[in-house]
Amino acid sequence: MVNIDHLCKQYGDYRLDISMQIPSGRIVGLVGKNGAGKSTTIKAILGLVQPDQGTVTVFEKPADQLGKAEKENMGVALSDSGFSQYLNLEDITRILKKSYPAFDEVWFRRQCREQSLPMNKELKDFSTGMKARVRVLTAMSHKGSLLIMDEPTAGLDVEAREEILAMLRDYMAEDETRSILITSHISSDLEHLCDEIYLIHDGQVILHEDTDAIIDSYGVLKVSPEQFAGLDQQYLLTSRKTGFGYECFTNQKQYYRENYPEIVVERSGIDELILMMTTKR
Amino acid sequence: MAGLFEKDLRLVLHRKQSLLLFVAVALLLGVSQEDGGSFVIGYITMLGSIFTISTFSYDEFDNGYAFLMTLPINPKTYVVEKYLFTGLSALISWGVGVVIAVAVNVFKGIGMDPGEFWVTALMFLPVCAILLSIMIPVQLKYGAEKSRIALVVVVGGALAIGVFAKNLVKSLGVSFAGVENLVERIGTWSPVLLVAAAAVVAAVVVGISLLISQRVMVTKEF
Repeated sequence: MVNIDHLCKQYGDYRLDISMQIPSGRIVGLVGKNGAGKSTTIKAILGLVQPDQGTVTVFEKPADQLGKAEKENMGVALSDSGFSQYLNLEDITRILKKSYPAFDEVWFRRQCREQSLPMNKELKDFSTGMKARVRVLTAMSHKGSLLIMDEPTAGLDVEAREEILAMLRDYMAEDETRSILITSHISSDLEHLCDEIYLIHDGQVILHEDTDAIIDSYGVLKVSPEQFAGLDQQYLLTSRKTGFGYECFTNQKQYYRENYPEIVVERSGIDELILMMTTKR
Repeated sequence: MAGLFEKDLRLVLHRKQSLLLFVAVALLLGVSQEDGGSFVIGYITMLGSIFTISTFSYDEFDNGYAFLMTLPINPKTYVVEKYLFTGLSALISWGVGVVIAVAVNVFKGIGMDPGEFWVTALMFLPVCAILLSIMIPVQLKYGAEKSRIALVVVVGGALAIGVFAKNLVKSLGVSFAGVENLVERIGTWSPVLLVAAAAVVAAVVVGISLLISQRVMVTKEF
């Protein structure tokens, strides 16, 4: 559905150079620290920035040449951009109705009602969480095959986040050929939602893995300096010195559990993945 | 494009109190002026047009362009919609101005020459179109804040170049007879021909302005 082949973009000293794919029927997570290149990647997919080199294709068309039909088939929620704050949901309903032939007005109004979003109040008077929900509902309202979600759960409490994630799961369940690209700072959201994860650091993809594999195979070893010296290091992706010894990141935690029963092997989540893969390289 | 039009219309209608205030002020001005109401037409046409220019600021505010460009439009259709919307707004404002001017004339019992009235009234349209043609690309290129400075620079620069060119031509001893003859000949044109000529010039300026604005938006990154 989306293919990025050596997308290069230079901003001063910073250089983005990544390749990635969003296959049909998959939920792909994009993680990384602030400034890693997530937003630029999303903007390149949407044709909002021009690559210096490389190609970005969406629905097999160059991203900067996306036409009406392709854009009607995409739903977008950006973290820092949306409809004017001086519009209300009644206005937005009318605008979406005139913009997207497939806009499901009944569904949109029902969702707004169920989520207690007032139709006649200007967006500027909405809370952060309400604005986030409007962005997500707007993106899903016309049933596109590709959703691009930039921090859709930012500013939401646990319950509201779960509601949004459930909506995204239902969206995928309605049509298994749909795909979602999602970024989030809340790694637990991605762990429970995504099929695969891309980790970006300093403008490059440093890891691409299925989420199940990250949860099942990746782990953090906590070892003393003596244990570290005697450790088989061929399956260590990275390691760093700590107060008590070393923390090592591996994609073969079972190997170490079986061969070094005396050392502590902790489960790895996406937080550990980001921390271990980006703090020392 | 219909979605964008709906958005702009709704943004403008959210400020309908300001619009009503403009009309009220125009009515007061019309009653107090002694020029048969033609000032009101110019006043309300320009004010209405500038009012719709504010939709650019709404779009730009909070990085709104990025999201708007993900809607099923492209930068070129965005620009076309803006020209259509501001053009239509100018036309409606002008229509309201004409109605007020006629009403004021009838109310005050001023006998007006219909030919003279319509020529004066119609001339406001090309003038407004040319002014908007300068304002829109500057607004798109520099944004709401910087465009005010940019407009001063553009207008000031154009005046400075004009004065410099005039002085240069004068110092070179080139005769202005050709230009003076042209101005003299335009003075003899019938009012209808004058309005038609102004409309043609305005159409050319709007066309050039539209192409410049599209170029600005196509090369912009969001």
